[in-house]
Amino acid sequence: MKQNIWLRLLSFSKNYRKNLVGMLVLIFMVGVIEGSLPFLSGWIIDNVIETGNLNMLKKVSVIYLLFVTSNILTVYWFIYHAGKVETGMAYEIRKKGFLKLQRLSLSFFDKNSAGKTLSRLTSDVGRVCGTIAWGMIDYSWGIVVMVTMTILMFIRSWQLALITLAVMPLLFGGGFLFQKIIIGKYRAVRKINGIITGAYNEGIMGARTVKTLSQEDRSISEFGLKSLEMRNKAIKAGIIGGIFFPYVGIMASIGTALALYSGGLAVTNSVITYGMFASFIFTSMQFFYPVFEMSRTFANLQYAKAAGERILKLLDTEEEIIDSKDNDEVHKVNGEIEFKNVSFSYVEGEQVLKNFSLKIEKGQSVALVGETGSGKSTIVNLACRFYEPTQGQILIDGKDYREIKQKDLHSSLGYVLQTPYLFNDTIMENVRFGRLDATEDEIIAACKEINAHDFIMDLEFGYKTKAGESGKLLSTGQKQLISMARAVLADPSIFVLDEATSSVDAESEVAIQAATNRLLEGRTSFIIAHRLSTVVHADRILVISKGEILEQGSHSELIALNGHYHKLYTNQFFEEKEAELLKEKK
Amino acid sequence: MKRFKLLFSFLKGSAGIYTLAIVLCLISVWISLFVPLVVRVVIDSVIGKEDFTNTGLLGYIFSFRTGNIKKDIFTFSFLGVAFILVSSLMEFLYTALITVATQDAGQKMKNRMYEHIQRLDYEYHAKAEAGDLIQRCTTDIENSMIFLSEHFINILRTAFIMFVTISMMLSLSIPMSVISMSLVPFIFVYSFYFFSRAQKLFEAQEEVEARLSSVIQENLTGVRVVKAFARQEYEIKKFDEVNSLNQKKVMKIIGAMSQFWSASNGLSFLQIGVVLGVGSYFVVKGVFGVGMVIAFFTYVERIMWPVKQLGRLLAESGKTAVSLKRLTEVLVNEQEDLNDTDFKPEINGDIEFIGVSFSYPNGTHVLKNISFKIKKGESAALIGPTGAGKTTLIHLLHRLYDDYTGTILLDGIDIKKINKRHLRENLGLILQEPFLFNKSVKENIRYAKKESLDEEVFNAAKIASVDKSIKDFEEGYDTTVGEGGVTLSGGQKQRLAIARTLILENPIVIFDDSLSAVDTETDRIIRKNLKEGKVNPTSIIISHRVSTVRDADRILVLEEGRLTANGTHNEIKDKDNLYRRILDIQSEIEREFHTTFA
Repeated sequence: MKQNIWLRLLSFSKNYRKNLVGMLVLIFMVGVIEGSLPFLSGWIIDNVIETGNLNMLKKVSVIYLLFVTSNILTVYWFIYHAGKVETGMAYEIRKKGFLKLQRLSLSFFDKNSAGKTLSRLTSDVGRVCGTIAWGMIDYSWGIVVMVTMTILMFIRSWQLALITLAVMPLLFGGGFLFQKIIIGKYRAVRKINGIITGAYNEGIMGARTVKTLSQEDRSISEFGLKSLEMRNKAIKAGIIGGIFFPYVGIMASIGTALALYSGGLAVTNSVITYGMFASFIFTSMQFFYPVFEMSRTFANLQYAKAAGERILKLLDTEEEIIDSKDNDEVHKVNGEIEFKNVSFSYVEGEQVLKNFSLKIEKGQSVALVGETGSGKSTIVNLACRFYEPTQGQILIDGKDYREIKQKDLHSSLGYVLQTPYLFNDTIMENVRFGRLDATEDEIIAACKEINAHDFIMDLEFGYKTKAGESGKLLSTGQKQLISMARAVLADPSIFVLDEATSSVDAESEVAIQAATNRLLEGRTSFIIAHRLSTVVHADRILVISKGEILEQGSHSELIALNGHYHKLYTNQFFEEKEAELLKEKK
Repeated sequence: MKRFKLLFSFLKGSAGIYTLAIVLCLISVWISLFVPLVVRVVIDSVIGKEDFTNTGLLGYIFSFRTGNIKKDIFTFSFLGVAFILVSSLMEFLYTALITVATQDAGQKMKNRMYEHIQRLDYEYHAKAEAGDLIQRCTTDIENSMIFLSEHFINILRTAFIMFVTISMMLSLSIPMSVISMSLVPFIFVYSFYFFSRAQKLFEAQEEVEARLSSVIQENLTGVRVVKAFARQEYEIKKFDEVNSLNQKKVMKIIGAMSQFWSASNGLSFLQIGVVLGVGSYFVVKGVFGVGMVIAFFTYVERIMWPVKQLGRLLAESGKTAVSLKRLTEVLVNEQEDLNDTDFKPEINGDIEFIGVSFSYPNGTHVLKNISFKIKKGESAALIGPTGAGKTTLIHLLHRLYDDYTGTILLDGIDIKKINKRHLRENLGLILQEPFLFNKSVKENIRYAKKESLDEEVFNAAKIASVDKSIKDFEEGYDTTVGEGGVTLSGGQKQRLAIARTLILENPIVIFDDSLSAVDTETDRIIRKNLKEGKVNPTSIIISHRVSTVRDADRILVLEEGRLTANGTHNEIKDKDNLYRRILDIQSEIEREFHTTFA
């Protein structure tokens, strides 16, 4: 990890090494040519103008045209190669990052917000790759130009070179020092800018609340304070930032003046020629461009470094759930599940499950009931191997499931989420997600089986209707049905259902109930149950509280106990039923 | 152009500074353009033997020549530095001024947008797309500010540089000037054309990038589904397609850029070459000295960059126009006038609807001839299916719409006569999905009453039955809510929102299904606390929960916009209405439950 960040990031360009080399070679050429240009001009002055040799001028014109042509070509190709390096690196890093995301366990996604992870792979990668490719160009070009100019100056006249370059340490040192200072100021501006965006977010999302409380004035004046702070910080940064350009300009002009003065004296004393004198003046004028570019890039490099660190941190995240490598055999999951003294905690010290044991025979359906936070979801998460037990074992078909490949386990799993997740694609494709090689007929058959076909056909575009984020026309109930069709299509041996707490429209309700029963048939299943009818139909009901099984048995057994289940049943299910009934009287 | 008028209107108040900045900028450019002249004079007339012909400022300065070559070269070399010093100082000044003016304008823009959005009516916000609005308030304002701070001033500056440079060149030598400028129009047109066309490439790439983002986003939010169905490889393939498409699109832009930069660079070099070549020819022919060639060389070099920039700047100003249009689209929505009348009577809490009917602007009839009366201190439950008009009824009471027929009276006063702000301040409305601010619990509760004492906050929390939950938080009342703070359950959010409203001690409190995520027992406690508290407000409770409705002093049943029952539980339970039907089904379940499992 402590390895150089830039080198590690640069290693992603290894498939584009040819472009990288090409870019550096070309930029070297461009730098040398541009660096020696002032001396070429000086040579022209001495050998053409001063001698009055017009034949020479023709020759020089040809050389110059050649130079222009080669400049066009080199510039074209180095930008092209730099682009290849930039886009190639971005492609590779994103690919690696996405691959990593597919391998990370759920704990990562629970801890890191989607928005932040997204920006790692989008804006951060963009910034890093852009800065590396173009920063390398700026720096290598700048260095080559300056080195070329310096060498040529020293060759022509070391005294004059020393005088002309006298201000360079000031220019360099000042420039970089300055950028270091300004970075802090800009960071402050960005921070407050983030706060302003946050304020807009709150102001817009919370506008209705503000209105119901009649707090518009307060909200506006609070925002005013933030925007004022932004203004003040931005002005401060802007004014300090405004010093940079004039500073560089003054330093450069002092350099030119020194060249003019000492060169002028040398010319009058006939120590040097006019042409050489001109070369020095041109050089002193052009020397500050690279310095300017390099110190400006310096600030970008700092931002890119931070972004690069974040990317590498993502890529270095440890994968918690890994298949044991020495296992190639394909395991067809039957569906017998056993929890053996399983303990689990998401955060160290906060145990969710304690020494939990449970055996489910193949084909048995188990309903988990209990309050929020009782550990129901944890049991399901562990059974699906989204998490692994901190202690104890989970056996599938009598075998520790760590010895079964995740892919095998998950291929035999059907999972319907509480809030159904649909991709921003057609209904057809969303169902197909359950089994990628399914034909359209099979997909339609699956939908028919759970009575989703009719409502799908009623939609404007039928199976081609877009679901997901933009699919606002689908009700929650309908989305649930689609995600159930997905599970039917997958024909899993283990079925996991996290029932929705919120009630859905009456029509979907009936269909969902039927679909649930259909999916439970002959499958080992886990249901986090909120619906009375689902619970009643389960082979076994577990009442979970604080990670332990309080009661278990069939519905009638548990009701007869007149204990926790009975109470839960009356309080929770009963009331949900009431609310549902109220809604369906439309 | 009309759009830019909006932008410049934000400069009001800093117009003086902004203008001064522009003037300083132009002067600084003008002074800096003297430097090549000084260099030329030094070379040709001080060092060289050419006659000095300059008039004006330079002529005046050069009249101080001593004749001592060493001294003269020194003086005039550093005269250039002096020029640069002055122009740099001005450059710094104008940068500072422009920053101040732009930031002032930006602050105004931000405040204006924020304030405008806050003052738009409830209905607007119910429909608004938050993401898009935020985008307008941030990116579009930023684009507009960049136009003020960079683009506009750079367009002027570039035009000015070109103007001055060209006129200086003309004053030096007309034929040389014509030759020096021969390629400039081509470069300008090429760059303008290129950058206009490049916008399309950028747009195409942005679209692909948005797709790239959404594939990642979907993968992240749907991670459980992906994992549960073991679809990682499928996802990787899907991502790879858009990832490499994005690579191609970015490369396309860079490819175009490489064409542009190499071609425009080539043209610039060609132009410089022409100056050097022709200049040399003239020097050889004895038309003028080497200094003249150097001066033209410097001018041409100086003009090349601005010419390329001008094309880009003009093309990018198009972007600003789009941003300004997007800002205008928000600003044209009319603000709500909260101080429509001066009438602010004390409100006790008697509510009466007399024959109220209302249809939405699109023509759907929502409320049909509604009449009822709720007395001060009474609790009224509003029950009915989704879409029956419950929320609309509340909105009318809040005067979110005024164009209904019939009359709504508060304490016998027509609410249309009461100052809107005053009216709303007296009606405590609690939303089903309340928004909590990213502040501490305490600050959230006293949001609407800044000067409230801690005691009042605790008391409100107690009435809302949320005090115990708060005490369980690690930092109690100082716990931050929202991003970076504690995550609250739906019920906790609702109860905090209730506390936030109750601290105001309004004479009327309205629960718009805002007890839905609270359990039955807590629901009952909150209602009891409210009734037995010192205010005992009139309350309207929209609820789907039968136990809540049953306890109310008055039950209002709304069905398809009509009031089908109005009375206590006992009064309406035996008549035919929705409430009765719900009770029927309820007892049916109860029977079933007991017969099946008893």
